[in-house]
Amino acid sequence: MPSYARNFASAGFLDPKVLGRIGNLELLARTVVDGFINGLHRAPYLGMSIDFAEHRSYNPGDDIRRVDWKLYARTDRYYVKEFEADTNANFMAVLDVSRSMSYTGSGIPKLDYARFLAACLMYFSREQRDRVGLATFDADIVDYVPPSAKHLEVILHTLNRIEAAKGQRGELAPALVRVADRLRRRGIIALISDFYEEPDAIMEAVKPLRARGHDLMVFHLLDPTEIEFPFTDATNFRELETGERTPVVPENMRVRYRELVQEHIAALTQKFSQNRVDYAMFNTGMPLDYALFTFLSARERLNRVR
Amino acid sequence: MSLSFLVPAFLIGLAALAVPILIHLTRRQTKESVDFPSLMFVARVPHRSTARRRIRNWPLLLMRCLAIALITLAFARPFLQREEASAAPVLTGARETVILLDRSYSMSYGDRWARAKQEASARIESMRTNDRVSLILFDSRSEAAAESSPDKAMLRAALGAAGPSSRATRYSPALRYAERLLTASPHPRREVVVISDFQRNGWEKDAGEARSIRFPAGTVITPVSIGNPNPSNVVVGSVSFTRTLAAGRERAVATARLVNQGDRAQPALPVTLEIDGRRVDTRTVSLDANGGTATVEFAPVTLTETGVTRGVVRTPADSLPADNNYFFGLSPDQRIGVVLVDGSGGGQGNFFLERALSIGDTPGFRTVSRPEGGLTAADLTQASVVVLNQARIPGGELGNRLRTFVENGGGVLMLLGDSRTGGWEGVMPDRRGSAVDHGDAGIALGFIDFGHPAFSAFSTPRSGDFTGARFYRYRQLPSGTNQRVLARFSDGGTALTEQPVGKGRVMVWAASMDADATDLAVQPVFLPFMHELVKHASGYAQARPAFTVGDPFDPAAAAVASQQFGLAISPSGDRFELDQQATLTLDEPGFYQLRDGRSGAGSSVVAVNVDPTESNMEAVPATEVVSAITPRPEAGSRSGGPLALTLQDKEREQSAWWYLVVVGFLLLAAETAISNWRKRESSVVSRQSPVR
Repeated sequence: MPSYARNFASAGFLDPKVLGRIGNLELLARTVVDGFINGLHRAPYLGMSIDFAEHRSYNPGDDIRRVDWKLYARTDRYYVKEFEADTNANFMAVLDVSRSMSYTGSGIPKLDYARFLAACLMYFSREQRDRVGLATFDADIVDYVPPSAKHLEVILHTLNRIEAAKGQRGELAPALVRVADRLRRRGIIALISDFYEEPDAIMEAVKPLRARGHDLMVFHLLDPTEIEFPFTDATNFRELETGERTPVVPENMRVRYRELVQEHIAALTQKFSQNRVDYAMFNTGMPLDYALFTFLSARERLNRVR
Repeated sequence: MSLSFLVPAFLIGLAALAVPILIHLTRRQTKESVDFPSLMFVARVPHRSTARRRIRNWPLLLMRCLAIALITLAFARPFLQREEASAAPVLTGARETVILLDRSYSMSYGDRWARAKQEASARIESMRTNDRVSLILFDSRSEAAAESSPDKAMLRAALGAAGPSSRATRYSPALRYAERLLTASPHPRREVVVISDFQRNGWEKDAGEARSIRFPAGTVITPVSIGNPNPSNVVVGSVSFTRTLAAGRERAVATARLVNQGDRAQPALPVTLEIDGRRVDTRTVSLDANGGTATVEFAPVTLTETGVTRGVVRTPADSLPADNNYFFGLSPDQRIGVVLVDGSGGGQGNFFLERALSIGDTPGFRTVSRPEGGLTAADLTQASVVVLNQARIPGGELGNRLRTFVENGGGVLMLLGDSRTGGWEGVMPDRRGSAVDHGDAGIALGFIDFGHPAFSAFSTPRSGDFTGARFYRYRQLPSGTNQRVLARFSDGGTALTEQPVGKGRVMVWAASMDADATDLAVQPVFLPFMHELVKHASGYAQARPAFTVGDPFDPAAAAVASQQFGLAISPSGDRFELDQQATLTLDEPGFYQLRDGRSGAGSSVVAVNVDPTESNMEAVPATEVVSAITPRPEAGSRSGGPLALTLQDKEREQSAWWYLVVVGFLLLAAETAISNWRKRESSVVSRQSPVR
């Protein structure tokens, strides 16, 4: 176990490997989300939800427009209709399932981490009465579950069975254009990917989403080995997406590689920040709840500032 | 002490050492690639290719190589050889030398013998203190002139007394003798010096046996070839004879076969026939070189009526005179003497027998008919067989003489018919068998022992039909001990028996040979059957006109009737007392005279010639002989002494392979453990499968 993982585990956070042993995504999401759910999230819109939840007795002070007159006709008593959520936000997780996401370094596969992350976000949003939807993509949309207050089960099931695309190279731009085309209502979009593209290209790719007024959160997933490059044996490296091979002598390349990765992260951080997009680099070796909590807390603080 | 291997062929397996080395060198190129999400950043890093063929895991490589080497060595079954079993020649210390000096008669060609003695003498003179030399003279036999002697004077004397013999060459007896001497020798240095003309004929007869000889390890074989490059030699190979009877005298025509073994043709070679010391005929023949042959037929020679006619076929003496003469002795009149005693009471009892035995000359029969009671002791001296045709066995003194006659090799054929033989003291009891009468129908012979010499001539198809013969009456032959039944009638009754008595035999035929009791006498098979029967009863053996040097001679076989020879005089004048129970070995070419032991009167001769195969001077390369008998390492250790262990025994005793296998597998296990540990330690990249 890497040292940082040990530190987090001793601090009470949930090790991704431990989470990985939980087969039920809902239980997993609940395990992660419970404890920091209250008061973090605010919907981008004000208004009434259309999803009926329950009836309750009329109390003085209630808006008489909310009295269910049909029920009054049947029961001769005043009841007020309660709705599912008091916000009407669409929460959409857009998940990269290209071959590079199947990489397993020192921890769990990135795709599993992304799956857990998406499930947690879904669960969290559902608890906030948001409508939740899911889109997975490589070069095109693979699975698409439209946002709905009742789609959590469907989404979790879809998340449960997604696999990394076989032989497909991920491309952000075309996939995100199609996602943007399908989402006609503004909402919150969580984009989860490893972003192996040039920062400028990435920014171009997310433009359609931004242009339609979506609140975009970007989760950049990287395995610790992708950051640290700890390999020792000189050998051939095979790119997961293209199958291309190249001889690599890690000892000679490690320093420069780390620099390039950090430059890439820094560039993304800067460019997303300039475009008012919330960006977070998630190391899959880090506890999921810690990363999530850190990110959502920061986002909440930023939103207050904004 | 040196390391040896029981199965060195397995050392080829050491080539497998290349496998781990190649794997170590090429592993990184053939190893499964490391999957990585993207080469986006990797591709941007400039790098130089390091030396890919560099071995990094030296300890692992060494462990793998060592394990393979140990297991391979285990398969080769190694063991440690002590110095005494070393196959390498020892270069210091006292020396045991065995000089094998060929003295076959081919060594008398030209100056070969002189040169051979010079070579042997040089070996003797080169002796040092504590050296020992054995001088073995060999031809077809081997004889130690001096055995393991440190005494030069004695060796010189033994060599000086040696001379070429008249025998042919055989190598294996001498080599076997040398093997025995060297095996028993305590000296560290051992050498065999073979001084010979290395005749191919002699070697090819002996090569197989010679290869089985195992000299002690380290024995040095030194061949000394004293052959001539282009020998010339004419051989009288053989002489055959055709006998004829002319005007009551026996004549013989000698035909000689000559061979030119030299490389020069003989256009006009005179060949002479001498009879009893007189030159009677000379012919001239032309012989091609290199194996050319010619046949010479001489004029007929009339043989003496008594005694042996001595003859020699001669060619002019050449460098090898021993084979220029062919000696032969022709015995007169080799007909078998038969006394027919007719006891049929004046009938035609002997008629068919006399007629049958009067025909034929290979051999002919000299028959004398006597009425029952007319047999005399003088008849026995001239006869080889006495036929008692329905006659009783004579009693008294004549009976005793007849028994002595049989015991000395004569034969008695008894034809019973209707008679009763009576008893024969010391030979057979009086067995009163009853007569069996089968009326006019008669019976046939039901069983014939075709394996017996009397019937063997009829064993092949269409060689004689006994089935047509009918037997109307015969006399039962009670079975007796020491009798062999040669034929039976179809009713199971015994037809013919043979009983050995001394050197001779008594044969009893249960029927008669006349026309009354059987019609066998008018069957076509009768004549050859009687010839074979009488010939076998007489113990006839065709007299050999000549023997070859080295042949054994049986004096008893040369005895004429009751006359025996007690003295033999060799061509060189040596006298040999003859024992009738033993044989005389003929060692010289020429005529051996046989004399009566008491009177010393000369009465017969035996002609002896050299072995013609020795005349072929073609030589085999000395290296071929040496390579066949040079001790091989495993052979050396086997003959290291009575207590020496075989290679298998030594290897089994040490059992080093077992330890090597154990150590090899322990190394492999350790290598596996270390390899896995290093892999875990060195590779931070854990390639776990997805955890769902």
